[in-house]
Amino acid sequence: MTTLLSKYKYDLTYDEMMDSSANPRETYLEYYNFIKQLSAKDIQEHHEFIDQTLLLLGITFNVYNSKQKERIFPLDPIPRIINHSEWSHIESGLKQRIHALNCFLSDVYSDQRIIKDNIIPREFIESSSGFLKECMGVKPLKDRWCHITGSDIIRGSDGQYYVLEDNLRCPSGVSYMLENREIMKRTYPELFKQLNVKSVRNYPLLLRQVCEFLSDSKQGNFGVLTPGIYNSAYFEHSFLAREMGAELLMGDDLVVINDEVHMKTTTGTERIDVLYRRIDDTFLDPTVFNPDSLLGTPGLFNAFRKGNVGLINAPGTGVADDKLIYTFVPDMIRYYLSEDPILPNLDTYLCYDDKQRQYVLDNIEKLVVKAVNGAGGYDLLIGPQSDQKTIDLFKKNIVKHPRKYIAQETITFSTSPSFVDKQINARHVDLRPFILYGENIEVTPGGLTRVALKDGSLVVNSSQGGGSKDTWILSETNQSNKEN
Amino acid sequence: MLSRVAESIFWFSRYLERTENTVRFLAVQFNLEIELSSQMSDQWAPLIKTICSEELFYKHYSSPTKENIIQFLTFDENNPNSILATLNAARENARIVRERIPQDCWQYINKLYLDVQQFSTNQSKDYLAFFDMIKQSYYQISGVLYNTLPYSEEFHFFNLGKQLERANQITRLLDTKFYYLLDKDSFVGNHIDLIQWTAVLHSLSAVEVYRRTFGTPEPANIASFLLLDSQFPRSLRYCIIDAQASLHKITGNDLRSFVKQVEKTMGRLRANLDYIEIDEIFSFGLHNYIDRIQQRINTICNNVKSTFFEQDLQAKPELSVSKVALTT
Repeated sequence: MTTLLSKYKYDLTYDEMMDSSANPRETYLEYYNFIKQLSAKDIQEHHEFIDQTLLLLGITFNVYNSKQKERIFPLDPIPRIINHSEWSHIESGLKQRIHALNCFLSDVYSDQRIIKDNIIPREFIESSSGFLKECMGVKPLKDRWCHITGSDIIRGSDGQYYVLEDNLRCPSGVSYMLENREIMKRTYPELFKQLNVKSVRNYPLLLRQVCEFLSDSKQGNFGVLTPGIYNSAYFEHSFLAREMGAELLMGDDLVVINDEVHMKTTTGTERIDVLYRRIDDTFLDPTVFNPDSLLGTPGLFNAFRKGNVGLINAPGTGVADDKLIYTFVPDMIRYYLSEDPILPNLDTYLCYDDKQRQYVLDNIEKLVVKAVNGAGGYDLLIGPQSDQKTIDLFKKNIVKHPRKYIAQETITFSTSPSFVDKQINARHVDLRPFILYGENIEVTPGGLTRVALKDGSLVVNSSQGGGSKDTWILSETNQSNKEN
Repeated sequence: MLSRVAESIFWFSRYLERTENTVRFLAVQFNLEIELSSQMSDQWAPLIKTICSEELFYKHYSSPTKENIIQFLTFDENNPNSILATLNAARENARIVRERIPQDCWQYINKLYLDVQQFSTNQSKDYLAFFDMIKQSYYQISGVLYNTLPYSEEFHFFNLGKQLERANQITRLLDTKFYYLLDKDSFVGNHIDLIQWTAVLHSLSAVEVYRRTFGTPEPANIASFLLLDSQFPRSLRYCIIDAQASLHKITGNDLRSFVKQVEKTMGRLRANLDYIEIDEIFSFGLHNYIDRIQQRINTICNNVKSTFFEQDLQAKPELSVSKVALTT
């Protein structure tokens, strides 16, 4: 009998479900036995149920310059599963990394020891567009800079996990992690019990606790600052505000009085203690940064500088998000923590460096080239999959703006079984766990697994035809941490 | 509560109410046409005036045929008061405050919008079923709100919006109906008259209650009931009584007097409706009276806006917090 799974082809690279001798990996064994019994029609029905639910719940993102304004971010019915010991490894690696990154941010905006000790060249830092000279000497509440980080992790064909980049500028996607879980629980309730999947439900509460920690107040006024309903992530902003018990605010709702931030209410004004802002640094305050910004609030930066309001994340974290600075994270870990990095970086070539740039230009067909400030899969070249015209364009740009680009060997990330074209196919996946840094560093057991639904594609971004998967972290034993 | 949130809840409520009113008026017209198809020809044109403006209609259509009017009032995006347009506006406002309203409420309005969009693309359209669907969703959404919204500012801004919108719709309906029905012939109480006037009551779900109180439909009684009854939820006076109650819950001021201008304009309208006699209204002229009422409702809405939604804080950043609180 041919089942759906017997046709599953996965020999491209490391497959999350199947090992090289065509047996299911232990992590997936129970799930494998479950899905083995399903027909294409069954999964198709689950898929349709999921799509319908996403649409009805209004879990959509807005696409700029498109006729169909609201789109759902497709959720694959097949989860991505990670076992307990692998997760522990990822978790400890991320904690170490965030600790070091926060030390770096604190240092780079005050004493700059890391520059003085010749670990990172001054010009690398000062030429980063994420480096805000306005933040020099600023002490954010509790010396926390990166309260929320979404690091992108991939698994290479060697089975190892690598950090691809750290997103410290208001990373998005966490609402999808939470809503995906709710929908998957409705679709496969019995599986959650059977597999003992760890719960992600506490994330908004933990985020609230970060706000409480920063302001030393359990009943403080907390807000989520959004650019507005036409922003592509508006659903997420409103979702988080509701879940955190915070106000959803736009720049116009705020007014700064005596260097304190207040919101305008029907009865006057009320002071805000902490803002989880989903507006880019340079749009926060037109009096300090972009004077044309209509999104921000005049005086906000001054209120932050005086310690009268907490901003999550602190302005200026973008310097650690820069893909050139990324290459120094392992050095930061050794420098600030005197530890060896647990999660490795991908090997990266700096186009800024003459020798390395020459290597990149000579071997560009094999490499992935990224803009150091790029996000969303834009300004990205995948050498082996690009035509000569695009390659020539990137070469020209690299020579013209060497500081703007880095390059990495093309790494084929692992594949995960995904339901595409009415059958189960291997598709490339990455993983974005969310790390919160309040009193302690907490990594939510799960994350957003993004999947490149196009065959062979390595680009997983929602704006580029990617989808998502619920990420299941299995408990250590079958007794603890039941999902409820 | 944030001014912007209050404003969005207020407008969400108004647009939702407007959508439902349009649906009611259309549904009654459909029924009327089935009953009176042989006796009446041009019953559709007054609807344009009740719901929108004739000027806008003739900008886009040459003749007031049934098909044109239905299209104009249901799915025409050029008409800001078409069902699709007001529903979209309600949904957009709900979206702005979706973290503040019950989740079910957002899901129902979202589903309704998607269903209406879907219906607009159907080849053959069962309008009566379509109107039923919207009415049911309306009651579903109201049901969720009335059972789960805390009775604080959220609720009272919602209720204030609803009652002011409903009051406005009632006056529009009465104005056009009296104009068209009384203008043609004098009321003689014949078969057609009875059906026509019953339809007016139907438009506001008032048939049964009216019948128990007054019996046979007569214009003066209908006007009296729909304008001045103090207990019927779709009478003008009841809407204003309830709007006033919510307004004072929001401000926290005593209902017996006023502190803010908006409380004064609301109280004045309430007093008028409380004490006026229907004979006085007719001798003043129903149309003139309604015209004046509409102006007053308009003034109240402007006062609501300037009192709660658009306090000018930005212009005086030097004010200390306590001073700002005092000026509001």
